[in-house]
Amino acid sequence: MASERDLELLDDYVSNRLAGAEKSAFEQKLEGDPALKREYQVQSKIAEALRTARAAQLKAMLGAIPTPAIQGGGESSLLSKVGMWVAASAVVGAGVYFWLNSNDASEKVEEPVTQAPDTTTQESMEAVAPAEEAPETTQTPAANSDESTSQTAPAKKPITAKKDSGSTSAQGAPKIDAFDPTAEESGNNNVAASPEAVVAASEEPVSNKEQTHAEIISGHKKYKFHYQFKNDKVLLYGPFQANLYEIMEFFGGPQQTVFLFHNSTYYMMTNDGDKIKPLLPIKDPKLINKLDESRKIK
Amino acid sequence: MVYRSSSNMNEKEIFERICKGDEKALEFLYKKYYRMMTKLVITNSGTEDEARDIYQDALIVFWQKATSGNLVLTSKISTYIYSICQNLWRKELDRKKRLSNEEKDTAVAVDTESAERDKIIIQCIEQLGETCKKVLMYYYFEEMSMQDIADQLGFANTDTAKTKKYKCKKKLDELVKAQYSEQDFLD
Repeated sequence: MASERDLELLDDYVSNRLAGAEKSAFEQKLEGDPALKREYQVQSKIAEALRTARAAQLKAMLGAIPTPAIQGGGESSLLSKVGMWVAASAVVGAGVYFWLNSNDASEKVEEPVTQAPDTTTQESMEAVAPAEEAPETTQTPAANSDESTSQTAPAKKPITAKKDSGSTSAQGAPKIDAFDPTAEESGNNNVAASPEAVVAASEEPVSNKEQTHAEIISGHKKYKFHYQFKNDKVLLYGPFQANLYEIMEFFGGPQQTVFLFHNSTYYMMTNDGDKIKPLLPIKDPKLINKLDESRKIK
Repeated sequence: MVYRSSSNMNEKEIFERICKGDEKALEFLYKKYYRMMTKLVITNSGTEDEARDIYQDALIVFWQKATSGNLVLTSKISTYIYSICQNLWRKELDRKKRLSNEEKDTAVAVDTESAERDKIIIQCIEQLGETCKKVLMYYYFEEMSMQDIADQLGFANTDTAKTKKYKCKKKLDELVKAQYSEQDFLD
């Protein structure tokens, strides 16, 4: 019967927490102790099953994330281009609508936030072509790419194990015609690695208007979940450092409509001078759908 | 009409968050490189489903290595994930090639018993409570430290995480051993 200490070491061993001399010593002990070896067989299968279950869980999570259709996504026909131009001109009207709306009495701001903009805006969002994201700046590839898929520890092949029972032979290895992401990157040398630059490097025509930058003000005594447009920036008051957020901007000519996406909720932000306003969630399902679509395209 | 968006995550932040097991950062990364990575498979005789499958697998490999602290990133995240995709797709093409060479029957025969056993262990895992499942998965798959597990699951301290892990593992062992004897695990 294995001792409590042996079982602890065994658990560390199957969970890849032993290294160096400690690991070698344990492996020696394992060889000389049949009872411990039998227990190892059980524990390694349980650990493997936990890894498989977790990999499946993560895969299901990724599979549930909306993504754009891949094939033909990067090309657009003449018809679709014409459609886009038609949609774009419709959006200019929508932009004027928003702009005029935003110049109304500031007390009215809370109401429009929960309503959908007119349908032309929504249709136009749909009509935006999927933007191919530019890879980031050139950097040397990983030194040993094989390491990425081969795992040295016992029972530690959560992904590749189910796919492949043998190793890839060099002579029979299928040839992959790979495009080099770094090559694409080198064509965009002026693009910095910041998310803003990645977005600006989109294949879509980019508006002359500057990207709205966000600045976070956390711990403000009075404003806990508010926003303010100031000096071409949007100031976000609240705990935004802790979570992801996304600033979504829609340009129709000179007009701009800005949304915030935070904790799975959308907020519309209207630029009324320097006023500090509360962030109110958008509740209109139609508008939420359209915004979801836009994020999916992005 | 032009649509742009920006977010508060740069490359370094994404990696740091992933190392801590932040699934939101993984989602962000998935969307960010979706086109780039799937293009590799599609332009190399893969279908859209295969492309998605390979990219998801590659991202999970990346996630596992990052969360376990076994990854020192010397390149851009995209370059690293891309190389994983390349390897996985090469292996998949190789596997397909072997299957078409009539190796299929033997492979299936060898794996049946083991697959059945794995299935039953997975059913035992399913019988655990949600917190237990998370603790054990974080421990064995992500290889998180007790401190990270405590942070992720909101435990008061590492001792609480250790105790929880011990109890959950004991329960899982009991469930599995109730189905099998040790002999069943001997290959």
